[in-house]
Amino acid sequence: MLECDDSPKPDGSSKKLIKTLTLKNQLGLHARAAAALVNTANKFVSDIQIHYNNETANCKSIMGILMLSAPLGAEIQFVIEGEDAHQALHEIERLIENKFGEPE
Amino acid sequence: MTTHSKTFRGIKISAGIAIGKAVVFSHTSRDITRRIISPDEIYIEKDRFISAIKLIIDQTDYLIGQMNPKELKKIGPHLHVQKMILSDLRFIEDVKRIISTDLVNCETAVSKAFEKYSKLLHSKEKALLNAKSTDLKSIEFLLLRVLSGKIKDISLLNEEHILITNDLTPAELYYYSKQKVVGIATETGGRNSHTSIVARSLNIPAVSGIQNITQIINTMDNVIIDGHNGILIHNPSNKQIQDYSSKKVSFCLLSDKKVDKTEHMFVSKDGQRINIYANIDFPEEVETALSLGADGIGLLRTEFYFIERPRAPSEEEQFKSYDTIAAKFYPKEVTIRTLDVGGEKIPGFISQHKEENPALGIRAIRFCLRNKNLFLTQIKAILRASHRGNVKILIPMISKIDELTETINIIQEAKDILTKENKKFDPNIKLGIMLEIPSVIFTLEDMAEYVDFFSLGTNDLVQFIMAVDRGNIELFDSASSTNPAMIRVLKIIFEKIQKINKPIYVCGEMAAEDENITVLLGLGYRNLSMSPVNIPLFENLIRKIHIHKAESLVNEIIKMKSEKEIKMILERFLNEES
Repeated sequence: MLECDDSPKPDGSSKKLIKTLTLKNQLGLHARAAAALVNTANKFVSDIQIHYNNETANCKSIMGILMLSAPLGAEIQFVIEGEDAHQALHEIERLIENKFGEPE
Repeated sequence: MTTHSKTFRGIKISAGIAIGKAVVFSHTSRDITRRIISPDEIYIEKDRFISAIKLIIDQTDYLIGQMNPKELKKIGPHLHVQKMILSDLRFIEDVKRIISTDLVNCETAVSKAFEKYSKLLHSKEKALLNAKSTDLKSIEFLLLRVLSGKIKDISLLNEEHILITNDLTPAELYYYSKQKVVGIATETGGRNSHTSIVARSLNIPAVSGIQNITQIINTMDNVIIDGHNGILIHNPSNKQIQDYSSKKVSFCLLSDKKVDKTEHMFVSKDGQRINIYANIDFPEEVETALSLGADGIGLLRTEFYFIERPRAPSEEEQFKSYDTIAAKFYPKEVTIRTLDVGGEKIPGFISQHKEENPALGIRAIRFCLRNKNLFLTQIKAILRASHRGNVKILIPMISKIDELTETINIIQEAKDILTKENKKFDPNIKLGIMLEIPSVIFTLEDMAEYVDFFSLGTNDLVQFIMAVDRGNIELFDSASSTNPAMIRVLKIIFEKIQKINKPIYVCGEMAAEDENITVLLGLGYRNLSMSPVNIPLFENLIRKIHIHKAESLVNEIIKMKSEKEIKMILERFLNEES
């Protein structure tokens, strides 16, 4: 699932990671979950795009994420590009794994 | 003042009772200026938009700063979401672009942007829609209120008020709750919207889903909000104010200190014990019902588990919840009613054609028999929760034997599967049906061969007997349960039930009003199920009533031809008894 392009970029730093993650929380990407995702994405300088159902949204925009209407079980592809891409992917994975901190 | 009292039914959002003067915030098309602008106004409109957003964000930050740690944990996240949406780049760019390309003022642009989002959401998964689009709608309304300069500082108010509005954001709700707003009624908003969740955590009585309420009610009109029953009363009579004041007091007393209710008795003045059960809509009401001394749960509605959900709840999830409730009430009985949806209340994850007459359409058992997997899963969950022997199954909207036998087959199938799966259940679980469709009255003896008990659903029964929609404000009086036809129908039912010798429980709203209770007791009904909040009120009433007097009164009433006369007699009786 993980495609990793570690070849050096012209600027010598940028990395591009692609990974598909499955939503595990009951309500999917509803407002509070989307907000948590944006908060996490905003901690990083990397550009983070998410693809779902033939649509793309910027992971730093809550409106975009909400409009994806991704439910429980949705497979979402994250494309992360930038110097802290690894760290960003790690935290996003953890957030989704923890079901955005939602009680079941 | 001789204004006419009117009752509106909405969605229960947050429990509790509020009595006060209305403050109406409305923003209909009338109040909002939408216009075309000239190109040199583009800057001004964009500026207005940005300032409005900045103002709201600043205020939200201020509110977050004022919160205590508990509020911060419960309410803070909702305010953060609002802030995040308002400062969202995509949103800001969308509105700015609409202003400059469509040449419209920013109110129009804001509405257009939200309309676009709402369309986008509608075209997708239906299930998440309710909560999400009402959250967006409330943010749109907030922006429009700020832009119109109509956002009022109600900190000047000097008595307790009830806020009547189209919609409200969580931040506004929090702000007003710190002022003198004690109750909320809104036109839109589902039970799971952010604002509703915040209302519950702030313990502010609230109802929603009452259409055009901002047009009907004027600021300073008297209003009562009954959050337990999802009711709003406009211009209540003195008697209603009195009744609700005592309801409010008893509810506050009971919720404040856990009164020891073990010595609780629902005994009439002449020594007759009446069985009082609770109608439960949401699991959170269970504790209240217990502390009020209910003899059990007469009606556990299960719609809560299915509505506003992205997918059907699993057997395990339902089992856990039913089982917790059954354990809390053990050894008292818990009657679980299978899913009663249909018409407007179809869960989002089911697709069903729009019906022309949903009240008479594919609802309740008709819906369940057409969605067998969903039904079987629920039956299995209920059966598993019955292992202590205190759970009963109740089937809504049965109209003929075939539906009943088909249901019984499914219950048997569920039992067989559970036996194979080695799961515990009560093999002798009691089965009952709702008596709410008139056809059942005429086939009661046939039905009785298959069931252990009946539950009288007076709400639907009166609708079908009188052919009135109880939700129709104009026809509200025609839906009264004390008209001569209804009283006679109730008498016929009771006589048949006595011959059959099976228990009957009354679980419509009829069991919640003094006059109606008098009639039911006078007719012989002894098992009443009601919203928990009505239980202390019933306790007050039953202490004053002589059952034998109510019985002779009903013998008189049953011969009367005019509803007015019946009402008068009942009122006089209640005055004499108290």
